[in-house]
Amino acid sequence: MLTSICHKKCFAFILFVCIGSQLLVAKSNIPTWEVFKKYSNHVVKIQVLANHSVAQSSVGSGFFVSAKGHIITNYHVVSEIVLNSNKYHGEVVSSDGHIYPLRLIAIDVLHDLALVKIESKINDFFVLDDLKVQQGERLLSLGHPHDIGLSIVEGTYNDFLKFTRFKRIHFTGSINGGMSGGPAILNSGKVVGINVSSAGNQVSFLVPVKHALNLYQSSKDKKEAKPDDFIKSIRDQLYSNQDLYYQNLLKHSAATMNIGEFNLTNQLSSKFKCWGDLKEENEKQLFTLRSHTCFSRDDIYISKAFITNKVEYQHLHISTGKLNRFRFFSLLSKYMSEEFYQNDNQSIENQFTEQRRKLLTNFKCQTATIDQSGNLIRTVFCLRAYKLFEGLYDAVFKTVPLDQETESVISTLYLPSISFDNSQKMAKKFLSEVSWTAK
Amino acid sequence: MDGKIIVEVINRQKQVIRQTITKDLPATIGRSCENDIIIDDPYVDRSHCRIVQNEEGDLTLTDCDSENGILNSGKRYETIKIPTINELNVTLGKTDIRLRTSGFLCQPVKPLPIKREPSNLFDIHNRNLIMFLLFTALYLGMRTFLLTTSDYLESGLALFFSILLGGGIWCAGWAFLNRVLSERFNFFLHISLLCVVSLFFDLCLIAISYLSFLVQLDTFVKILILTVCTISIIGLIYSHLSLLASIKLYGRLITCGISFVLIVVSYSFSFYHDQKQFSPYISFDNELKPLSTHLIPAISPKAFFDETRNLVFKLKTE
Repeated sequence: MLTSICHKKCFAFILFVCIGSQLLVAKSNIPTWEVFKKYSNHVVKIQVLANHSVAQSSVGSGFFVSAKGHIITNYHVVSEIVLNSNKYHGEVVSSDGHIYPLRLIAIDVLHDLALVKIESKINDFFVLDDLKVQQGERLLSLGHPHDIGLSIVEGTYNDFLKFTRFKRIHFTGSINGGMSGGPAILNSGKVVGINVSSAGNQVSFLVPVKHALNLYQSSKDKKEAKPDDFIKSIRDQLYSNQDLYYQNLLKHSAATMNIGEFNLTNQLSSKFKCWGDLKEENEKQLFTLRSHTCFSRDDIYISKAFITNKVEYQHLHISTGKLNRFRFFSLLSKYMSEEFYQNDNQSIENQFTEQRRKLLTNFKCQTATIDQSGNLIRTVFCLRAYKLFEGLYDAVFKTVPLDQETESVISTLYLPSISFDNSQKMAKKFLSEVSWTAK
Repeated sequence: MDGKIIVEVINRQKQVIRQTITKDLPATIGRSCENDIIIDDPYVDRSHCRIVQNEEGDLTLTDCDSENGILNSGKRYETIKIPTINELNVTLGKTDIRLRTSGFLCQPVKPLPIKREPSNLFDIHNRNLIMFLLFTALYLGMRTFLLTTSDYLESGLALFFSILLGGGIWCAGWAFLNRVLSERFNFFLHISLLCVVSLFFDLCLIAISYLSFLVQLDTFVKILILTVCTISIIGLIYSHLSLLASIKLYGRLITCGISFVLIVVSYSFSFYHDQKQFSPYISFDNELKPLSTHLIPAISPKAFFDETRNLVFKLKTE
């Protein structure tokens, strides 16, 4: 399976043991147990506990990156401590069972990374380095799956995901809950990525080590920061991220397409994934529904109740040959009130209402019928503010052309984590791309 | 003593209900027919008291060993003098009487309102009942309209009419119940009626708010409802003026005031409740109606986006 060897230690080992034998090259890897033995003490368990409680509320992994006790882990492992510092605190459990209080140094929400520290001298740590890896190389991931003890998982490196803006490595190995924040390493002990998420069935994702290296280098000399500083830091990161992201989208001229009489936005950028569907509602086939839904894959985890940054939009084309004007408009009203983008987050919405109340306001909307060069369009612009992160909003923009009596298209654009100015610019751009040939 | 003595029986509203003039003294007062002045009251003795002139020439009212005696300002008297230049108010049994000498001008006796018999609750000719049902229907229609509309002008008008109609219902309802149960104004009856009726309305409103999702009212239909309501205002004024003619002004004011307060409270409560409810969902005016679409003038995209700036301020104040 693994033939390309690219590091010296391993190569020397091969030369010595089985020179010239093709068959034996496959066996030339350092056995997994040896890697585990060598690096298991580099990896720690990070547990988050509710104050005045001795039992953990969540568990993740992390690994040492400096002799001073710096540890890299995922932001989502420690997010509760960042957002609810008065309710939660963290602990680091080293491989020999020692428990140290966890100190937060810096976070990078965009790449889901956190730099934490314990007050202890460390001998065994990984030296972070940005390195090139070939697709197909063997990676070993370490962590504490479901808190059943430190485990090592074997898998392969499958290059970066093509559709995400925040680079993620596709790792074909099974990462489970609790392994988040653990390292994925080469046989040589070089860290390639940090375990972050999984899509199940051996499809897992890693944060490239480059970002961890950046975070470590920029923050290694910092002292433990206050919770308010982290809130501000998250806000700044989200704000500058959205500025960059939406400015790019605004520059990009979106590809358009035709559905029925309408000319609409197809892809806002090449990073968007689109899905289409066709439905003929009910037996009498009174009307036809065509949907075209696109979304980006740039989720940013803020807390378990709140995942943001996934831009979505949908065109729902409704046409009828049988409904009269009144019934058709009534049908349009019904579909207009549906919120397609909520479906993904439905369970989060229902499960964490209380937590979300602390983070978000209700939506406020502005509705009007506008005249765009002779065409009547009903438009709705809704905003909800992020209570903790000033100047950031979730925006929803809907357009429904009203000139046609037998067909129309309800377009909805969902822009999470955006500044007001950018939301207006995006909505204007989206609106300008809606056009149709009047009958 | 040459004068006459005027004996008047007075009701609680200080109205004279019977007047007897007597010249011959002594005159007797009591329940039985032999008396000069007969008082129909079970608490008055057969021969209760008499009017006599004493040795000094003064006119007096003297008790004839009656059970309840002669009461003046709550005090029992054996003999009480009838002043020549003033009137004497006494209570015999449970009846108030007024005694005056002829030196006084006679007060004309006001005719009593005709005592109405309690009518049948389900009498179709009961005008008040019909008014009550009519206003109820209109009021509920108005409230439904209010629930389904989103335009400020429309909802403002609807609120105005529903308050008027609400007042009409309370008044007509009260007048109806008043006629069925009692001829007299009963404040507590009135208040309890208001409570029952308002509870009933709120239950109806809950039902209607669910039903209204099924109904797509168009502006045309709304204008129709408004026209009907305008016509009904004439009926409303009629109800205020004629049905309540027997109630004093403060009764009318209390009625209208309570109905107004009830409506305002119910609206502000529902408004407050909606505001406080945390919802992840968008609530906006999603009603697309072919007629109103062409009635409401369209604005330019620029004007629309300028207006959206208000959202930021609204969110900040939350």
